[in-house]
Formats: sequence, structure tokens, C-alpha cells
Amino acid sequence: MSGDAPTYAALSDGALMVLFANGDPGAARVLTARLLPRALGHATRVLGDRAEAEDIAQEAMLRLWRAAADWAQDGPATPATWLYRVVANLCTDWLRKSGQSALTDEADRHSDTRPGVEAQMIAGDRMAALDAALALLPERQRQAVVLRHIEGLSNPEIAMILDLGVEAVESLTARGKRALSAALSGKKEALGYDS
Amino acid sequence: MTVERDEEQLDQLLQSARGAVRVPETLSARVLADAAMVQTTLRAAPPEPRAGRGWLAEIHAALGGWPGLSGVTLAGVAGLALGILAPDLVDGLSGGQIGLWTGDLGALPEVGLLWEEAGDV
Repeated sequence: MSGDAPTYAALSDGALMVLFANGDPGAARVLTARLLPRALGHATRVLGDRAEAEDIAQEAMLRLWRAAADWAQDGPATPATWLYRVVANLCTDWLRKSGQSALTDEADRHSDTRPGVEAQMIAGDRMAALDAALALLPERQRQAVVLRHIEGLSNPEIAMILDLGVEAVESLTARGKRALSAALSGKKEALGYDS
Repeated sequence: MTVERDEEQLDQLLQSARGAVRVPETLSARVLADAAMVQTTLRAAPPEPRAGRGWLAEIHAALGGWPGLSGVTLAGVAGLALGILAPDLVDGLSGGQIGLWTGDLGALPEVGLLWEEAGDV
């Protein structure tokens, strides 16, 4: 394998895992380019802590490398969904340890009344407003919303990642989106949207 | 209408967040260093190659492993016992074919009978 990009571009992530296990350094570069942004994006949105998100993304990628030797290309999970699952679990662990996952579904029903979104929001910075609103969601709901509406995964994929039923995922994402909408309502002018 | 507009704007916001997180080069370098370390480990201790299976093992697998082999053995023993204990039954069930293979003349027309038939006519 010469390492030229066009050759790798045609390969699936699973095939690259096999190449990686066979010692191909080019496979590591391509997998990193494809998967690291997704792992980091998910962790950043869920944790709201960039430094911790980077550590978690690195740890998740390390576990992916270690899994390469036994990777089953015909298995149910793709490297991407496998990685998302590891990231989701690491985020859950970190949030629990840091005491930030105390929000419950009951708390979620009242999340639109919580203060702080505006305070955290820089005028015109929509991403900051979105992150602030996401931070108000309960952890599982936040994970589901990020995976569905930002990472663009399907409900069955999210169900596999979060170890939930598809209906539970649908419920989580629907409630999460309603909560986000409520948290951002009233900030539309500051965000540059028509009211 | 307002609800639909709100939802549309929220969808736009969520979509604009997709891919918005940039990966710092230092993080990519750390991840690639981990990858190189793991590959070094894999090279040092490659996975055990599967031992090549001999022809006996191939037959064993083709017969369905030990469960299949047990069935084949049982059928063979039962057939042998039947052949020894009740050869007539086996011959009858086979329509005389077993006797034919084993040289049993009872399965063939008697030559003498043919002469008799000719004489009768």
C-alpha cells in the first residue's frame, strides 16, 4: 500500500481497520481524519468542556486502535458507531464523576424556565447559545439530540450507541428538541433570527 | 406558523453546528502517536495464525463436527448389527439388491429353472 489518498478514499472504515491491524500507517491517518472530528464534536457538545472533550476523544480513538486486531468487518457496528458508543459512555462517566448529570427527566420538563442561557450567550454567537441550551438538557437527552440533529445519525444507530430502544430514542430526541426550542425562544433577535 | 418557523430556525442552527468543531493539530498528533504505539505492539505480538487443518479435520468439520460424527457412527453400527442379525430382512428391504451385490444367487433366476421353463413350453 503506497499511502496515496485516492486509494484509501474508496475504502470503508471497516476495511481501514483491517489495514490498520496489518500495520498500515496510512490507514491510521485516514481513520483519524474521518473519525476524530466526529468523536471530538460529540464529546464537545455533550460535555461543554473542550479540554475534557479532547481527552475523551483521544481515549476513544486509542480504544478503537486497540480493537482493530479483533475487528469483525461483518459485525453489527461500524467503526463510527462503535466510536460514538465509546465516546457516549466516557462522557456519561465523566459527567457522573463531575456531578453534572444530576438533571433528571423531571428537571427536563422545567428546563425552559432555567436561567443562565442569556448570561452565557455572546450576542450573535449562535453556537455558544446552542451549547448553553444543550447544557440544560439531561445527559441522555443531550446525547440523543447531538447524535440525531448535529451528527446526523439515524435513530437505529443512536439506539445501538446509547443501548436503548428506537422508540426511547425518538422520545428523547423529540423532548430534547422541544426543550432546546424553549431555551432558545426569546433569544432569536440576539441570534439574528426573525422573531 | 410561528412554531414551524421556530423549528426551521432550530434545524438550521443544529445543522450549522455539524462539523463546526475543529480538531487541533496537537490532538491529531497525539491520536496518531497512539496509533503508532498500538501498531508497534501488534507487530511485536501478531495474532496467532490459525493452524492449517488437516484432511481428517476437514472431514470432521464437513460431517458437522462431533455431533455429526456421532450420528454417522451410530448409523454405521446400527446398519452392521442389522446386517449380521437379520440379513434376510435387509435383503428384503433392499429389493434383493444387497444379495445381488454380495453374490447371493437367490437374487438371480436359477439357470435350471430356465431350462425347465423351456421344456414346459
